[in-house]
Amino acid sequence: MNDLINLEEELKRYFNYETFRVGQKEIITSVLDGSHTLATLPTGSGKSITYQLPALISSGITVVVSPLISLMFDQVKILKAKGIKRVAALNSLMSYEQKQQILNHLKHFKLLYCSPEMLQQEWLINRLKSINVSYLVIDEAHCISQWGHEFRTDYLKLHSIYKQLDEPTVLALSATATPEVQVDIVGHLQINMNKIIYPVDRPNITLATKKVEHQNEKEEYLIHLVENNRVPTMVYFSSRQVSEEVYQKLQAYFPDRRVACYHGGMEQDERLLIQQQFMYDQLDVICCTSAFGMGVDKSNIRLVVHYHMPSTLESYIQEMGRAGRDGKHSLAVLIYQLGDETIPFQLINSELPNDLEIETFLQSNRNEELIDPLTETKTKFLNFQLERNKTTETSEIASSIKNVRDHRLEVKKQNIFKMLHWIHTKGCRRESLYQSFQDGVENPINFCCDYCDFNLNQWSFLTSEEQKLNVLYDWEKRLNAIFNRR
Amino acid sequence: MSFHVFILYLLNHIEGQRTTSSIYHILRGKKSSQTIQDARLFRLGPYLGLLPRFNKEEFDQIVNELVDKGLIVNSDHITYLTDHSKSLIKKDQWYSSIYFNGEEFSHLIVSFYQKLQLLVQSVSYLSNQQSNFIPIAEDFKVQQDVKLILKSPNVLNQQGEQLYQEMNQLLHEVDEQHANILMMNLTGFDQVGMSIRQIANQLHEPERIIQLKLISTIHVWLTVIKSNENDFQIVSQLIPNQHHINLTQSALKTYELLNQNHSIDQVVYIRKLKRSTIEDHVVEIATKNKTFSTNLYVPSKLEQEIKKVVLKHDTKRLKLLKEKLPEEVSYFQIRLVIARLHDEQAMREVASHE
Repeated sequence: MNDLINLEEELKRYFNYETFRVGQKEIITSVLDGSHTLATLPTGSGKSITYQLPALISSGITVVVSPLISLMFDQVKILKAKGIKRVAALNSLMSYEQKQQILNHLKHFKLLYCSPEMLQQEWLINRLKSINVSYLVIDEAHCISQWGHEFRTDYLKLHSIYKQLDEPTVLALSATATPEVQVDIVGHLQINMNKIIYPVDRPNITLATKKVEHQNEKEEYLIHLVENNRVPTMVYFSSRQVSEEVYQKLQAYFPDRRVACYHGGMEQDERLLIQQQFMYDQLDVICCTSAFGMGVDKSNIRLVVHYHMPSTLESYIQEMGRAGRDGKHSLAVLIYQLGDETIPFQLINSELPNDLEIETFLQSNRNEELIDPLTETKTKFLNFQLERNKTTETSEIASSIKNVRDHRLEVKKQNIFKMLHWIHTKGCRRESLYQSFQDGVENPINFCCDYCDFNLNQWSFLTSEEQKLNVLYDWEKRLNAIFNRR
Repeated sequence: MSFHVFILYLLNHIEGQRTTSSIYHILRGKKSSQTIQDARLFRLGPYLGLLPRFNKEEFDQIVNELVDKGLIVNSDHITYLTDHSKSLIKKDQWYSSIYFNGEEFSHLIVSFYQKLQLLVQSVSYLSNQQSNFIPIAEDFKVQQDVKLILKSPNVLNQQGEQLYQEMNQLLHEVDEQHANILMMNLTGFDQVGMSIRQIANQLHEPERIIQLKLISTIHVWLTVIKSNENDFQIVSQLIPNQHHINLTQSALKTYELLNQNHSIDQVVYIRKLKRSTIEDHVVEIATKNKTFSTNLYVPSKLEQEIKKVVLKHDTKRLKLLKEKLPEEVSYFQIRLVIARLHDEQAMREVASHE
């Protein structure tokens, strides 16, 4: 079948790209041949095209399992903006009418993004069975693994979904799957998979860390970086409040630069405007939390700064990987202040239920009483564990769940230690960052890291004169501009 | 400080009768009979539902600051304003010159404004031969509605000339600064709109003030459009249809049952709700629908008696009124009479002006 299709032509037709990037064609060919495939490609290398193109040129529908609702919406939005309209997303946040609207036109769609919870719904599975599902895509497949940094219980049920959908060709994708996670993915799906493993390092990104003693020093260093690098910049924070504070300082310090803040606490309309301004180069620096950028498709981000350390190497790889998607030289800097690790340590303790919460949950479940609701992640964790312990003696359930909880806590703690270890590494940062994912790294296209050959303190991006947008504050001029009148 | 003064101005209306939180509920547009009735009673209808996503923490902080500065006193769950704050309200009346009609429009504007933003963006892109763009409104229903409007005749003709003319005319209806704020916020093919926060920074005013000015502009527009729908063939399509007098969902169900000649007790039984909830609905219906007869619940002789006491003591505090009335008169009956009394009072005042 592949011989008849000119994949380059199709790529041009749907996405307006001339050539494939590394790895894309190999994965697409494998999928089109009907082989179950497990593939890793680095963040920002066009992973999604490896299932979008097969979906568009095959008959039937492709179901994409995606762990985050925001990620789903962003993907649909980006495709629609490219003129690919036969796509939809289904998730629990939608109203009954919205879901029906999609279900009634299921045959019309080529790509359907679903949350894993949604695929547990029998009515949806039944509808999907009545049409031809050509591919089942598992995006962010590391969520299947207990060793993965974002383990999601709903992902464990994907094998039965695969069976119920009459065994379509499966494509499992990840940018951050260590070899042990890869084994776990194949093990849980219980199918033979063609493994296409590409190195996930990014040769165009120079890596550096900066250690500081005090809060003031941290702010000053960020100002120094922003001052010396007049390029599209993202600054990541772990806390909304700090992102706000630093944003205000930066804006005050650089009145001629366009600085903005973005986090989950802002109103939706405001967030949309900021996100689009950044995409269309109307902003220079964005101070954000991880809520930003799930599907940010901006190719010319030159500098990604972490003001706080992420809680896993995987998150770090993902977030700094938003830099330089155009393949040009970019820089990722992590600023570390002694004691910064207390933030992620506190965070992991709030993510999982404590002993008391476990016991109260089990008791209320037995007596069918109502208790104060726990956070969504805690409730999900507990419900799933309860289901897994169906056949366990009642007296044993609590200790069994506590064991699992302790195990997850341990994995999370180890992740933070790995992150710290990387920050304090006394060798090549690039090799150290990727060593648990692959053997060796590619040769960097420019500077490697602050250990090998790079001096962060003296670095400055050379930029051509920025073309400033002339912001119109007068309503008549703005109205004429929008409607393209003189 | 100006937003604080605006809150003070609103608190001044309920002084000595309610607590601060009644103002919070009015600004949020809480769908309870109590709030809707309060808005009528204290003539705060224009401000009803202006800030639907106002959060309690922000409001509480403002109230605490007002208390700390000695501008208000909260005593026994009632709020009082100090002399200092009364003079402050008179000094800085930026809000007195701006128009609001929350009672009529608050439930319409989110949908109206999102559609307007998306329509303007779409027409701007499409009439410049760019069909691929990321919509500035993500709501599914909003997108569907705008798609329909784009298909109607004339919308895309001559580079969106008709929409351009309608916008131009509407922008002339408001202050220059208000027009500027709205246009800065809109997105076109030339650039993405500025966020409220960015506009506030640019104009050196608080975000809340910019937000209120934007809301006021939309209220003005809705008033103008509704009175001349023929002049605004395109933008008038952005106004959501109103099928019913603006009752809360639950009150609407109660209203339908009462219209089928069910008694309050029967409605309580049918709907499996508390009697007090159904009573709230009846008060809400009486407040909003002047043709709804209350005689079934308050015999006219009793109604006269309650009216007299309310007028004599010039208060709307239910507890005080209840003490002055015979034991058998219920809170429900007092509330019903007040709901109606307010309308009569307003009518009389209007009449005496003429």
